[in-house]
Amino acid sequence: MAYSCYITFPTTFYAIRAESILKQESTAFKMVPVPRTISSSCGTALRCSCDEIGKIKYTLLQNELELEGFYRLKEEGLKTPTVEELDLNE
Amino acid sequence: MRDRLFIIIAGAVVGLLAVVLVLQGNPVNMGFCIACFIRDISGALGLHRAGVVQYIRPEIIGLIIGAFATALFVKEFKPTGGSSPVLRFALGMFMMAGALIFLGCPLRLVLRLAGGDWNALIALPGYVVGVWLGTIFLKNGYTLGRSQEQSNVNGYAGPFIAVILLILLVAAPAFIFFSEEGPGAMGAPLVLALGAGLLVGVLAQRTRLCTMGAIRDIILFKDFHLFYGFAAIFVVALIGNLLTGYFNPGFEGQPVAHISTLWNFLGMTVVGLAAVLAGGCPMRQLILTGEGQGDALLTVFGMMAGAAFMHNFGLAGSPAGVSPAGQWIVLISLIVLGIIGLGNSKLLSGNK
Repeated sequence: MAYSCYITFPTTFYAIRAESILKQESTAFKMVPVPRTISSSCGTALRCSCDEIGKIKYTLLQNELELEGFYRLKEEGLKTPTVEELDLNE
Repeated sequence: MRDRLFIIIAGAVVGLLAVVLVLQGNPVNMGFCIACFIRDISGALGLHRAGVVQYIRPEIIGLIIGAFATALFVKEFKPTGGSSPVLRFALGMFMMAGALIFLGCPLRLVLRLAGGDWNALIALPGYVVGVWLGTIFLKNGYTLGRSQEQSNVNGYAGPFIAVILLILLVAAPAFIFFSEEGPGAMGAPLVLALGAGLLVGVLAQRTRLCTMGAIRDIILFKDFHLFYGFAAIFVVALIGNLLTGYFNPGFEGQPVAHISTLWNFLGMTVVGLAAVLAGGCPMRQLILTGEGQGDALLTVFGMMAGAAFMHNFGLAGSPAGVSPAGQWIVLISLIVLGIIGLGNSKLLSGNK
């Protein structure tokens, strides 16, 4: 059983900017298609460890990025992942 | 893992159905061709009078209704619209213009490649260049603006039109044009073609199969997820063509194709760029239409109008090649697409 956290963006532009900002940090992340269980739209999401999502969100907002949503997925092989939308508002 | 398996299965099914549809009567290397089929529908409705390409293609109806039914079933039917409608229509027109220069949408490009049509080998890098040009705009903030939620009636418009087309196809009233010769006269039996469209509609809605996204995601993020679907279409169609004797390698004498290298390349460059700016390849636009996106429906309308424009003014490519006027359209398309890209990105000051 594995948990991953995802951040989605309103447009691809913000996803691209998020990648270039985080590349300068020592944060582990990967840009991936938005998981099918989160949305049927075909955007790009940022996948990261759930321990770091708060820190990443802070960094991105500091850089004036627009973010759309925050999710935690439980992914188990071929089973349908379970999605939990995270409320990260302070 | 799970998503990847599904998209490979979806691609494989599309490749397999494409071979079956050709065996059952569709033009060669045209088991599925979204641009060609929309062009045929445009002709059947009398929007253009190219007598050899007029038919209400059941595959298109199936794709929209399949995606619609699936989206309703899984509660993903979400009527939206209002994101730069005029530009969406124009992008649809240009996407069709490029496709009718090359003679095929990106899906047919893959199928032509799987049939040994090496002209598609020229067009593929052209398509990649088009998508790459589009990503330059994306990196610089290109967006057509957020779409707004709309009433359900807006979302039902696309599926409703698909049903009307099906009624017209079955009833075949005198005012609908059906080709008596040429590619438009070649088609798999209605039930099979409709069933194939429905199945692909379901699969594409579930997996978001998109021939533009496949290339875009590799260029932007080195992500190969959508590409697996793209590759699966090719591999299965190639095996199918080899087994059924439809693999005929070469440049010349290919079905519904020409050998003008430059225009094959640039035609698909136009399609790639327009698809990135519109947010999806022709097939994806049909699926989004089924999900209730009015913006995608407008892009499809743009494609229909583009087909009429290209055929009424003798601009479309043909086995004889691309006319000088058609060549001008390619260049004009690239310029206008560049303007649309620039005008909606942050490359020009003043855009927020």
